[in-house]
Amino acid sequence: MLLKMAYRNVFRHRRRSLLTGLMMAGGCALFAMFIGIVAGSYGNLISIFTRDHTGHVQVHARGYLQRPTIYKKIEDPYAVGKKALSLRHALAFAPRTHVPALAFAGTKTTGLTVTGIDPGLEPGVTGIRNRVKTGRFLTKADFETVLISDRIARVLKVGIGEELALISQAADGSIANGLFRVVGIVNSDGSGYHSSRLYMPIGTADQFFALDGGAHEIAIMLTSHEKARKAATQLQGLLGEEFEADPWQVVESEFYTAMQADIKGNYVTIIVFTIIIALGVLNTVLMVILERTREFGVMKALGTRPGDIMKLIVIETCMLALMSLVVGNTGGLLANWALSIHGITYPTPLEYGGVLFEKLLSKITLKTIWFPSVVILVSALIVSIPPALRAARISPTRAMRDI
Amino acid sequence: MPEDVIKEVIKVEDIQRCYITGDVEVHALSGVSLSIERGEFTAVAGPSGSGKTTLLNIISGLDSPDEGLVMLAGKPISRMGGNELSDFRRDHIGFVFQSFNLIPVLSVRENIEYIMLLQGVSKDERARRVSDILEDVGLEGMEGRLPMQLSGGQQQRVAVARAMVSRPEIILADEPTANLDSATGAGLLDMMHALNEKHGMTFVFSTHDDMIKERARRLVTLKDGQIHSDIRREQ
Repeated sequence: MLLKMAYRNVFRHRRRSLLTGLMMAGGCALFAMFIGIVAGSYGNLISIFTRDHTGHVQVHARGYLQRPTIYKKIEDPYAVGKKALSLRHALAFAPRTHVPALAFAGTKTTGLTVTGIDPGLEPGVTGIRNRVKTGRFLTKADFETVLISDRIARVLKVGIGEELALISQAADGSIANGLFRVVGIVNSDGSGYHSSRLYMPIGTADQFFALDGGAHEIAIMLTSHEKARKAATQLQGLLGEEFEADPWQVVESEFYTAMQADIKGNYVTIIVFTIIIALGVLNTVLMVILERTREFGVMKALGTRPGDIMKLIVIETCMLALMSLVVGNTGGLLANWALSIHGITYPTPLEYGGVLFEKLLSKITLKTIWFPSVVILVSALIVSIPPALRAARISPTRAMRDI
Repeated sequence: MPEDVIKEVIKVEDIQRCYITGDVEVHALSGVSLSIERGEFTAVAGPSGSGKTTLLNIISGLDSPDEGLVMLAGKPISRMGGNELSDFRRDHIGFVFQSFNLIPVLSVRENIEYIMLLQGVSKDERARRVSDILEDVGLEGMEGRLPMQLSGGQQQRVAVARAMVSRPEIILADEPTANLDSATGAGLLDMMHALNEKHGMTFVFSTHDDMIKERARRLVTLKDGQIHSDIRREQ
């Protein structure tokens, strides 16, 4: 009977129920969109960021990440890479060497990091090939050829086909110096990582720095960045204590911490949303109590227990909230679906963590449904309880006399 | 003493009820004692402010006396509270209000069934009793209508049916004819008289209506919160 009465009461004041329902439904849809956009944007951001250079998991010799030196090498990087590929979600790996050096061209000089990459494997992990704006990417056949960032090209005033000199210290203690021909310029727009980097084939780097076939880093790409932590743990188990397998969150801990802080900041918006919706529901429930004071008084006089009056009001509010959530979630899903496909293009690309983003994208996850639903339902439930208690405590004589 | 042998179904002893409105203290009832026997058809009359409604509210447990004792069906309701009092009202008292007070979202049938649902009466039993009472109050065929689709007289008949269908010992009616025209009021009174005769329930009215006063078997008159007269009549 309470359910029947609650259902009919929801439709008793159609316009008011419609307005409150629309507010809750609208709030739910906006909420779902907000969560979808947060998930989509940060997901996209992580995807672009990890695809730019980090990969999802990296392997280093123990202690390298805390204090990088030329000497802390992975002696057989391809064997380690093959082990990494045995992981369930691993797609590709790429070995790298990193050594600081001084570059000279004519009278110009600049400090940079020389990164040795495997031209065949690196594009499977990062998008560096797509960053080559002039010239070409490295090939397996290349030797003593390099890619430099547009910033280095500008500083040294060198172009495609021109040479530059590098000087550094090799792993065997000798002085490493040599001339290298530039075959491509890397666009470093918005990326601090690429702007001070020179890329050469890993074989060239191996000889130049006397690395003896070793590498400093192995970047691994998985099917999804969300699997990085689990994959890193599994890989650590496979590789043993000699190595460190870290997910991108550890490798780029500053970026990850900043992003987490940013995500937490979004909770303020969620709280504001919730308060607005809760106040709207509270207003409606209070109006219901005021308008139906006599009715509640009569029900009590007839022998309805105070708890049943309270239940009736709470059920009515929850019923309205549930109906609104169906509409709101449908709207939210449709909006998130459209935004996940088309997105919203920024007027000018946005720089975040050294990477440029052109589109605001949404992502549909279970959280885009359950989180707004739970927040709206629970807040509606909570705000309905005090007025419901008030109605349950109404004195029947007073209720029937006052109105 | 078992309930079924208690003759005195309502007993109030020396009840006092005082309301404070701002700085003004109003003595609605001052030392009222009254005893009503099972099956009586009693009218409580008196001018406005004499304490009629307060007396009915106290008898029904809707209000509590400041002092004094209220016994209904042998039980001291002035000492009850919360669910116990709600359940007692549900099982022992039927109400007929001046302004009908039907539940607007429930149909005639559902309004009549409401108290039986609270009591947990079975579906078949509810259907049988609703059918009987609808015949008694002359509302057959209207069970699916909502209160707003009925006239005032019809709504009051539903209210009487609702009050009686759960077979309470006492029916309390607060000015039941006040919002009805005289012909409808007379019809309603005839119906309640007949139901009193048929079912033997105890009826207590508060009223200004001369017709009720004339037809009541017992007329209690209140004045300034005290019993001014108490007359029993043979019909």
